Amino acid sequence: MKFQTTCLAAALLLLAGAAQAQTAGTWMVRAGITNITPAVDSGDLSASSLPHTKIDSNGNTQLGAGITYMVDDHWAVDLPLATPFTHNLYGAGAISGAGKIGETKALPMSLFGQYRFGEPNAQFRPYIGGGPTYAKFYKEKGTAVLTAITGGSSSNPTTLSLESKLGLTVQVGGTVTLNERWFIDGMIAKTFVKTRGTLSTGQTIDVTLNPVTVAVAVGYKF
Amino acid sequence: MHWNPTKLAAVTAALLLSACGGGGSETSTKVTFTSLVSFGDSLSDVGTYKVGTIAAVGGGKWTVNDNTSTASRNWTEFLAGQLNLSAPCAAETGILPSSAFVTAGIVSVAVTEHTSCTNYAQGSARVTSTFAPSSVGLQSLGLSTVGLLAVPVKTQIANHLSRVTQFSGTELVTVLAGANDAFMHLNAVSAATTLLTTDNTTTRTAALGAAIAAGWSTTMQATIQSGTAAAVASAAPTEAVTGMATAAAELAGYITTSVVGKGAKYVVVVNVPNIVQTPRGQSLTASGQTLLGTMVTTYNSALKAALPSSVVLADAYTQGMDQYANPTQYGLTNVTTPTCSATGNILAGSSLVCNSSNLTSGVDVSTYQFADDVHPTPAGYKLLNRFVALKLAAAGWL
Repeated sequence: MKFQTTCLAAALLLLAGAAQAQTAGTWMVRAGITNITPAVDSGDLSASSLPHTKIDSNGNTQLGAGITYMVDDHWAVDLPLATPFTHNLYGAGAISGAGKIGETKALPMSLFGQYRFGEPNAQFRPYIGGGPTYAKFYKEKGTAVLTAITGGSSSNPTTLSLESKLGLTVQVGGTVTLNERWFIDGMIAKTFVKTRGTLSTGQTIDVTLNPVTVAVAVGYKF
Repeated sequence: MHWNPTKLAAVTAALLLSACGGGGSETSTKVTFTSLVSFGDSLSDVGTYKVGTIAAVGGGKWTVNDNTSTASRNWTEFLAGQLNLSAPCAAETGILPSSAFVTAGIVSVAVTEHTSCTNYAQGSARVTSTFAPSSVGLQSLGLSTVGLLAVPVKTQIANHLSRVTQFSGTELVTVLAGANDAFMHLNAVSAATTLLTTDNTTTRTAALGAAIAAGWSTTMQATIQSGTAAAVASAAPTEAVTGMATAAAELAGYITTSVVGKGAKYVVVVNVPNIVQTPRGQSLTASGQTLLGTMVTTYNSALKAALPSSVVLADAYTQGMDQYANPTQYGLTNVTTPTCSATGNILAGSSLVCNSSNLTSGVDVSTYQFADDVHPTPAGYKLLNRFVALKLAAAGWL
């Protein structure tokens, strides 16, 4: 952490004198909020289970941030950041109505290549981007409902784990210049990623998550 | 800037380890239940007859008894484990065999109340009548039985109220009964139908006795005494189906008045599974199966219609048929053959005295539905438990 802070400070100092438009060599940082809402397409939980036992999940909003580096006047490399998301998991299909069966922390890690349209000093610069996303799942937690509907007990509760997976993300967004330093960034992204959930009973369920990410941030150019 | 690769690797590994594996669980339920109170028959019985000879031979529950394993449970026991409650125990124990059974080695054990136990369910229990299969009640009709207490659900509820006066409102109450009413009615139909082939004083007396035990109308009893064999046989199925509708209405009435009406807020009623799809049901003639099926559906419909809306009804009938049709989906390999063998079983193959010592060789108890000709294995009970739990979750109670 100390290393990272020092590095960032050094980078900021070095870059302080750079151009203020989104020209080659510009560094931009931003901070705001990010919402991720999975568009769940659940497979069926393997036997022994009710036919078509599925799961669903909900969206979550966290603090978001990001760092962008303009490689030239149009091409950029973007590293989005966010505090870890917490997604609730709900019963669906045959167990629709069962309520919350678990939750997981999710930390998506992405690196985007972006093409920014328009002139470097344009008031509004739309962009498109894409790149790999590694969806890290951790701190998965089952509920009493999950334990009960899978035949566990409170002394031997049913637990779950989700495989962390690599996916692909595409995005569209834009920046609106406020003044020579500050700007507003907004983007929407679609990530294509699947995971497999495994219960402590040995049962598995394949789930296509394909979340939509919406982020709004205030940025600063160096 | 001095890197320490070893330290970095250690920190990274620690972070990865802490992030991996999941494994957490929230075990508290939305409703904090203080006890599990069960009324019903053998399917919910956790050891009413686990006394004397039955206990000595390693029996006591209506499944494959394996006292060394916590997996040998019925659905009420699985449920208690999910509600953070201690294992249920029988509210009353004892067995009162008739002299022929005593001679055969089943010792009589006096009825004992266990006031700290709240599972009132007893094997063979009917909804209202004490004339239940193999019951001590039948001995008053001159029959020799093993003497199951078979206290009817009506009395089970009354017994609980005599202890507590009022439900606290934080119990989960389970009710599952009706199958033994079906068996008694089926037995009476069988005895009545016998007159078509053998009509004499003996068969008439047997038919009348079976009709009285089932609880048939005095009109029907008069027909059995003086009507033609054809008249008896044709009226019998209607008596049986009517009797099932009456039993269901009575059970719903007891639940309304003496359970919900006495303060119980969380009540789950499990309907009667499709007994036709048990080994015993499958051994019946086609017409017997049709009649039994009609009796069960009539009972379940009448029960559903008369239950208070606050009660959760778990449709074990429909769920069981799905398991019967799709065993693999439920982890079952056999839904037709009992795992308990009659060999080495002092009650002719009954699961009450079935354990790992008298199983049919080669069976896998964990993937068979049936222990004996009507009762599930622990695996079968777990499926029922999971299904009931899902209904409780949907009600927002878990």
